[in-house]
Amino acid sequence: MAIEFKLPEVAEGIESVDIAEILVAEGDRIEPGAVICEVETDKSVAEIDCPYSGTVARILVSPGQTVPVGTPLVLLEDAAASAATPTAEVLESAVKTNISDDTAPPQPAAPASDTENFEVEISLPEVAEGVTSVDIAEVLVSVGDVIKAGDVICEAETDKSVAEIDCPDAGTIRAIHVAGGQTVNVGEPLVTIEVSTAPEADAPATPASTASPVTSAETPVVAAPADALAPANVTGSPSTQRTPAPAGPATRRLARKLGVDLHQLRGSARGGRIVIEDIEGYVRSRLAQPAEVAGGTASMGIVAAAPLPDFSKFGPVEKQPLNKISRTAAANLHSAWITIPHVTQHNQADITELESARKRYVKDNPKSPKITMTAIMIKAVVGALRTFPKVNSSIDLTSGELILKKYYNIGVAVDTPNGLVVPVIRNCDQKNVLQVAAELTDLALKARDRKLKPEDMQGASFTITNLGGIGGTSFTPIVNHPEVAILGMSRGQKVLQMEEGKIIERLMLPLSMSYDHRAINGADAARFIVKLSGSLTNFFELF
Amino acid sequence: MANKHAQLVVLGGGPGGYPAAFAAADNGMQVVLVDEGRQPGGVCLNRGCIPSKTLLHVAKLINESREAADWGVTFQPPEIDLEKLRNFKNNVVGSLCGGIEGLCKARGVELIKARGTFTDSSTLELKSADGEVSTLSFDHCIVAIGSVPTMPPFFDIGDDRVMDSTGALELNDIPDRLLVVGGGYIGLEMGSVYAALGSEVTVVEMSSGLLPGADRDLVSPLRKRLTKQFSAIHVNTKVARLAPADSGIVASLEGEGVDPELTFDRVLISIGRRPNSGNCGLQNTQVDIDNKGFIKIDRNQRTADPKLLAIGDIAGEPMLAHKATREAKVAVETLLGEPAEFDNIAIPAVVFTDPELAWAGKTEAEAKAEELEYTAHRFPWAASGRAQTLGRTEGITKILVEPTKQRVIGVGIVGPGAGEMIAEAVMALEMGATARDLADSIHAHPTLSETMMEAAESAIGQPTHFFRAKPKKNIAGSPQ
Repeated sequence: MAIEFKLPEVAEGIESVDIAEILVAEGDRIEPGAVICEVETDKSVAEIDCPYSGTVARILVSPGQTVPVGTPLVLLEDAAASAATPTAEVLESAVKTNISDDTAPPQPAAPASDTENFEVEISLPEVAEGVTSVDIAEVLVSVGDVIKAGDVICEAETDKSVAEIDCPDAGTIRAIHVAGGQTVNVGEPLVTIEVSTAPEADAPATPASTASPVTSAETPVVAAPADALAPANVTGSPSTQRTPAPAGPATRRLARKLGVDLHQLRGSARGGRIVIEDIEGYVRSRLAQPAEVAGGTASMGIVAAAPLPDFSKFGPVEKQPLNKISRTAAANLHSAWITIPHVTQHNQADITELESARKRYVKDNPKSPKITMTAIMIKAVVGALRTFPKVNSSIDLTSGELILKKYYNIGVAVDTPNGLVVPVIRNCDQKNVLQVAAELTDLALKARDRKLKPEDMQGASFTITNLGGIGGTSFTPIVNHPEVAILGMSRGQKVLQMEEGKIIERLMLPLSMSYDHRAINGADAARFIVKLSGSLTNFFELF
Repeated sequence: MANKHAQLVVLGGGPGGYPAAFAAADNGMQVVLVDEGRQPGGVCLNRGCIPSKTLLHVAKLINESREAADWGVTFQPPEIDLEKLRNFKNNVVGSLCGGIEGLCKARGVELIKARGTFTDSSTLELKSADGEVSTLSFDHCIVAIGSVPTMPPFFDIGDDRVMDSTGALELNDIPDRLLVVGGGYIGLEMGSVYAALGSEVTVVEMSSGLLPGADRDLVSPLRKRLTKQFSAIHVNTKVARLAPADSGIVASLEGEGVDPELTFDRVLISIGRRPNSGNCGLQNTQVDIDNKGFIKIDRNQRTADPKLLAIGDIAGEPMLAHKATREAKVAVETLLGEPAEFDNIAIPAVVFTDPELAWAGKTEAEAKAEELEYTAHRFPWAASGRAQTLGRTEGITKILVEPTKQRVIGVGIVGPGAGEMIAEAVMALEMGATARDLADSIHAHPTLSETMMEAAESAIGQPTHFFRAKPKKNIAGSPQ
């Protein structure tokens, strides 16, 4: 039997990987569990092992290639799934579930499914041009009310006028999300209504139930090029089915091409029919709007960089492809730099006593986990975060909320030959410095061996980056979004200080904390770093 | 064993397969079209649409020559040269199939006449009629392997007097008594052919009416006419058993007011079609097949197997040639990375009886079942000048309109030429046209297409050639 072994799901949410290295050759006889290749995700490197035994007849990918989950990696001849290894099934099912939920088969003519009730959130529409929020004057409906399309939900005051907000759909009020006196932004939900089968008032109800052999999500489809046809999700969810927008086939095609959701447009032709000009106008107006600040779009192209000159005019060059870790880091750093108003607060912490105590401990306890300044700093940071909870937060501009975290997961930036990774030590408030130090050593080793799993790098609430081992006097780290602060450590310096008329030598540790000025104000940042420095000097606070 | 590789293989040369192969070749792909038939064209050309329409045309001619007596023109009863008629039909089929072979050559599509069976997701084993076996590997394959007539085992009694549509189209003889099992479009079309040629036709339908799925008001004029042409139409009736006898095939019937046993010279089983998914190695690929035997696809015709796409009857209902052809274009554009999607609003359905019956978009039954808000507007052909000149005033043109924007959501037509007229309805549905769009467009006079305009006029007011007193509130309200 010949089997194509396909790329299984490497980790949750990972849709594609870069092939780093192929570890088998054509003609190899492999046993179940043999590692076929190493792949890079945007966070880690993983080994892909094969649950089958067999002879490698063909290798179907090459190093450097980016491939989606489900891509055939190798063709095995005389293959057999090892009954002894349950992973065979697990991997198979991982691939399978990725391509099709085993739910109901497509139902070509099932009008009954349209008769179900469903809930719709009615959000604040644009009341007038330029008005982004209103004050709710009075809510005119209550839960349980049956309303018609066009019925007034509430009265709203803008800075210029009072407007009645009416409901675009008929249904039963299930929940009310606003109250009189509240300020509500355009787009925020006002009420939830349960809509029965009645079609939307301004949309046509035209789909022949026979017309769509398979229901499918309405998201604009960007078709894959021929050599990268993705496995299809062949069982679409009926809940995403909507009545078709009133637009001809050519118009719908253009909308798909541009990724325009036709349901967002109001057509200019008779009866609200959308024509190509409407799409052009919509795209033009969207392009004219400033890019939205909120939300962490991880695209490298938020602001396009100026085109590069031809460097070979000036001298010889060599081009090196960026690996996935570097590309992802670049996109994230760019996004953070552009969206977060950064300020860096510097300070010097007197660690003279702390450092000699540390050295003494390390010398006297050679078998204990190695206490590093970073390990101590993690505990010191947790102490300061407890005092200044805003520094242990994330800011949600879409909801206008600061999300304060009640956990203390500290990310530590680790420089590896493969690039920068940030493993996370969880619940540092519940661990003593020895436990933290042990875990830190372990994670750093894993990082260097490229063995970190994606979950080892998730969930940090604050990040530390220590360049002290290399040198330098200070630097301005970039906040690791969605965190709001990052602490940079430089190399400790011996300085001379006056104390009671005497010159003494002190060891000072330069600290640089960059923070998101939207979440933390300057005074609080200064208080935080002073508190942090103080706890290193009077280090009994740490215990 | 010869081995071959193609960028794209299209498996099946019917009205899905060959347009897919052509479109792919026109866009620069290296295409191999694999078809097991003696000549390409699939069921549609060889054993379906084309031969049946050839015979239906002859049937209509025979019927009209009889009806002309009422208009003062009397012909002698027709003499039927069955062999010549068969040849006419076969020549039509042959010329169209030959046309496809020619177009393959012109476009550089390699046509391989063999049966293809998947051995895995990227390889087909090909077996030609003379038994030669080879393999064909591919980057991608469009699966267009179609469907076959359903023949339940208890009807399959091993007697060639019991036929499916393929057998009926062969036209081996004109049976004196023909039983048609199934009152769907195939049964009624073939029944009409044999009735015109002189058979006594009995139609038995299990459900409560002919053409399940079509609106009853549109079926009614057809039924009236067929009642005259056929010797009997039994609805709510089941064929419990077929037994061969020297005198013919004895059918045991279960239904009210139906003789429990009737003898026929031939029996046509036309109770539906089923997809060909069972016998071409699909189990060796990763495609998902539903419980009816259709390959599951998404809106881009992609299957669960990244190398395979599926189109046509194998990819789901409705099993119609024109749906397959559209899906072919979507599949090829998907491979090319174009922004295609099978997002069609209307797939027209046409029954080529006389009168023809055609509909697109929502039927009234569907609109009711889905509790859509709609108004229905019927224009009777008795008010059409053109219908009067044809002596065919039984037709109806019906438009369903969504009330707030007056958008057209469905059209149904019964009458001669309905199959051609439905094209305008499909265009209106796809374009999101309103009733006024149709009413305000000039339709040539005198044509049957004017009935579409006038039906639309009744949605926004009164049509010129028909007056129906309306409740007062509706007269005032023209929302446009």
